[in-house]
Amino acid sequence: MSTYFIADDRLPEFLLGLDASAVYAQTAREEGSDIEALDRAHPAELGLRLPRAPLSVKSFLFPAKERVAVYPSSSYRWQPRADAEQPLVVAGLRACDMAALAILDRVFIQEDYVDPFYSARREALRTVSVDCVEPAASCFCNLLGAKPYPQEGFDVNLGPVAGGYVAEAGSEKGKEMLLAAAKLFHEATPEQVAERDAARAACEQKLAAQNGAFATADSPQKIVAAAIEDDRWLELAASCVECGSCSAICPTCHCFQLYDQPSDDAAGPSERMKVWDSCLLASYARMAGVGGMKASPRPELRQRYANRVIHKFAWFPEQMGLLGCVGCGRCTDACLGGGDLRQLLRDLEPVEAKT
Amino acid sequence: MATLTNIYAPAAAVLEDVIVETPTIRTFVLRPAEPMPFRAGQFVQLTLPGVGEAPFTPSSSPYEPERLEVTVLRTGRVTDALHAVPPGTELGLRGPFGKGYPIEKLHGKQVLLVGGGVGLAPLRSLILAMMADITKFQRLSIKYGARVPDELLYRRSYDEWRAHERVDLTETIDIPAPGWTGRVGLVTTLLDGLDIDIASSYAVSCGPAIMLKFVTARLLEAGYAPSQIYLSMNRRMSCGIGKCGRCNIGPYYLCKDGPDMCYEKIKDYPNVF
Repeated sequence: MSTYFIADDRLPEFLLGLDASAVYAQTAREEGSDIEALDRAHPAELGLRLPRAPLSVKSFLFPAKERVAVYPSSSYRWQPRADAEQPLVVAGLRACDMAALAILDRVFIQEDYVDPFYSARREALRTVSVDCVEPAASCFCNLLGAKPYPQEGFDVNLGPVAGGYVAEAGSEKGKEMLLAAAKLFHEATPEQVAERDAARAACEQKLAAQNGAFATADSPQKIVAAAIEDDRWLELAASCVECGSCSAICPTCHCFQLYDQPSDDAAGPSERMKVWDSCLLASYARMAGVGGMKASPRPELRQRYANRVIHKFAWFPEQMGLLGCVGCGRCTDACLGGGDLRQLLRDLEPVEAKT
Repeated sequence: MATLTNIYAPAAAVLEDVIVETPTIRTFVLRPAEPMPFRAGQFVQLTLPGVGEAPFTPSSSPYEPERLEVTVLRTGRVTDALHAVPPGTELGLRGPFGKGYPIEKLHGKQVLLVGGGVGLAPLRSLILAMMADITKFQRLSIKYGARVPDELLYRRSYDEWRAHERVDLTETIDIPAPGWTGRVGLVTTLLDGLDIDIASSYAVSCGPAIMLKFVTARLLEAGYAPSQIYLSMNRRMSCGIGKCGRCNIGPYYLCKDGPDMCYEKIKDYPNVF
């Protein structure tokens, strides 16, 4: 794969010059970072060397709330605009985002039914991913066997080195993006590629060091699969306050609910909305019934809590062939109860296996 | 890129007729703008414009895809509102979803159907499909229970069903009622002393979760293997297409893999009933 170099001060020009309706990028903010529309930020605020942002790739493809149907009473012919999305660039995505993207693609476009809204946005998305140089304290991709630098799925990947980035295209779209801005790049020197590779190894070492205390003898998949009927879920779920933050911030959680509402005009069309939902919430799987008789397959929090974890580590892999967690640690940062998935996996490990 | 079908938008269906079945159950006769071929046991999402949609398995014959019936118990926001709409109303339909009953597996078998309350509705679609082709089956034995006589569904059809040579139907009510001379007792009592060759039988059951639990236990006691039991499982469903997440039993999504599940497949997962 060809490698190129772009200097720090040329990067905003590259990103803003891309043929896209909007360019989003990771920016440095007082507390950590965010992913924002780049034309509203100062170029000096680009923060691609910071740990991954709280916002993941999910929100760009699967908004928290969107209208998915309008059905007038006289005819049902209305189709939402789902095939005319303009190219959208998101820069600053990480290896964990690319892994999440594979999971969301699997659910929304690689199944029998294709979600036309997700599909249109996915088609329009241009990803500029970045190697992690500094993991967040909650990051644990290494415990899942993943690397802190993207290996596939990206359009363009940037590896931070002194004074700039080593850039690589990972797709046809990516090649076009680099070609269109060829004047901003030159071939990376072998020293720069070596520097990037050394930075990758250094980040892996940081992850190994910060997660050493959470290492388990068996893989998380095996640990969770063996703990499906465990009686410790009650105590493990004790700190959960059922806020659903983990699902909202999770780059792979994709549960949603459809609900209908009349339009303001009584004679006008009705709308169908698709909104994020969380399997931790009591209302999530509760069925219809007269007051007090609304049956739920998981009436207790411990059951819902267990279902969420088991689904990610055992059932989603069984259904879809991909691990449902990417180890980004965002749920740990968001958890109001102080939960940490790494600790949970460690706690679920049978006592005799603990090292 | 080609324009994709909007999987979330309902197609039009006109409500042709409303049949009052019991004080709390009505059958809605729908004529979809386009015929909607379905297998018995598959379900549809029925939209009441502006109110919402809810999942129902058609209770009519799959051989009449141009005219769908759904039998609805009034039990929540959408179904309360549905019970109030008059014939002529334009409703919406999405589907059909799921796999439906494994009717080919039932060929040549002694088929036992166990229904409870409004759970007879999906089974009626299977009953009608089987009766249209009854010589393919050794026998169809229907056991049905409702709480009180007024809530026995499709009473107008019982004589016609029983008139079929290979079909028998026994009904029971949970609570004794004045004027009722039939059987009293839970539907599981109809499974005592079954005169069925269990080795060549499949049992299919639909009803409330608590009923399915006890029916399953009773069938296992009677000698059915888990692989011979099919259950129409109850879960909340929103998308119908395996994306929204809420209808899982272990790794299965009932909307895709069910809603009728072989007990063998689900028995070892938590929170089945």
